[in-house]
Amino acid sequence: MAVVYDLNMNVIALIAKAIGYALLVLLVARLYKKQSKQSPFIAVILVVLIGLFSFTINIPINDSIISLSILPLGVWILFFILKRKEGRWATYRSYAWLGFGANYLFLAIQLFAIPIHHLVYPEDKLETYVAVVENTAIISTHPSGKEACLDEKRLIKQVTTAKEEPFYSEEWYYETFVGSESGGNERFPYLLIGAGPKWGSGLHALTFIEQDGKGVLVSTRKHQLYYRMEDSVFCR
Amino acid sequence: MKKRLVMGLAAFLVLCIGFIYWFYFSIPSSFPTDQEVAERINKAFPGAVVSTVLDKLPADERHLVIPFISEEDDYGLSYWVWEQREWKIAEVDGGGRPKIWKVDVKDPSSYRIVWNIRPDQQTHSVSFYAVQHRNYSWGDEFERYVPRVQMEKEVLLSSSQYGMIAFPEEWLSYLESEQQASTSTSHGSTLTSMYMDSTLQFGWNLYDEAKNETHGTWGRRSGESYSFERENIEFLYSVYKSELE
Repeated sequence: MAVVYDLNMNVIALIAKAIGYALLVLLVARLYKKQSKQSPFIAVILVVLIGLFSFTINIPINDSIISLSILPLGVWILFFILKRKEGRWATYRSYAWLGFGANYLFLAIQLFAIPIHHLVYPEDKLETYVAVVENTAIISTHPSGKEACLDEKRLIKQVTTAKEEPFYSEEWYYETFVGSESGGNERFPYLLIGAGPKWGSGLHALTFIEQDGKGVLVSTRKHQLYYRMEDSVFCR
Repeated sequence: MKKRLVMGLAAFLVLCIGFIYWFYFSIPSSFPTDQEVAERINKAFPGAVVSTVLDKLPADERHLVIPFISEEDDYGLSYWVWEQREWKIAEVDGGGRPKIWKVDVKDPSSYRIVWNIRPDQQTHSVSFYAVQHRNYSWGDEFERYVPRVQMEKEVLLSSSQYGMIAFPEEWLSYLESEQQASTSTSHGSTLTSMYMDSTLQFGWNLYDEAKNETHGTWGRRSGESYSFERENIEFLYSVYKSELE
């Protein structure tokens, strides 16, 4: 298992998480000021953090996973530890429940962040997947791909104007059969390398280039998109 | 008194760390000698008698491949790992088919293809392939087309019938792109902890000078293999010319 810490990560999700924690800190501070009996701040932080701990169910929605907290495990643990001394549970109870409640705060913020992500990084636009076009190159991934040179300028120019088009995977599959016109040829014999997704989107994809240099097949874990451009991106 | 105790403890700690480092993380200063290699292989591979130690091919500082020929005319390969201050045999096999040593599974640039092919009159070159089979699927929402990938690396056998290579740049670029795409972050998480297996398969074939398929000749103990350490050493599959495009 490798933990891949991606520098080109999902910035929206990161900001959402930061806002969530900032709000939690504010709420804790407010509660702390309101309490008549001042308990040690370290203990308060600890109680809130343990309070966060809960039994959750993960619900996949599209390609995101929503964690819904159900059982306040942390609160229970705290209750059993703190009840032994008179009055101690009463002091910390509200902090523990605040910790548990924060799970829903995070959830709300996450639900809010998803449409924003879609807005900032439209998932149907080629420019979302092919944004950083420096040090970009093509490699031939099939013997029928004889071109070896990419015209970066022409690619950059056309990334924003490329049109998404429907495709029929079955048709593409069978047209490569020997005996048919293009037998032994691959429709997408090149891979575009070094072209990252738009900064902060975290939307990496495999981008295959079509035989004629005018088509791009964007392949992500979730879906595939097919784009056509007016002009070939190969060097002339 | 107390001060001395603390000093003593600190010195002890430093010594311990030094020892652990020396014992587990040291870098070998030399390869095993030919004689040592022969003796160790004979012991590890029952019935084999090494007649020639061909070469010592380092995959990196701590991983070594030693091709050999046995008295029974097997063209074998042995894999060695530097561990706890000694060269240990990870695997010995009677040769025949090339293998991939995934020295660090998570890092394709550490992968090594090794071979020791029994010389014969026709065989002129060996080709290695990275292949992904063409495929398609459709569902309610999305069509999916998987292009065929077929990348070849040819190595001539005229100067030497054994060898070791790292993956070509193109293969590495492909694997890197694929790895990035498969760990693409979804909206919910900024950290991903998935390592997805590649869909690329690795194969090989032998050719004569006119690039016709040859079948090679095989030693009596080809394909026999013994492993001793947990290393990722895998066979390449046989690619037939008829299935290539």
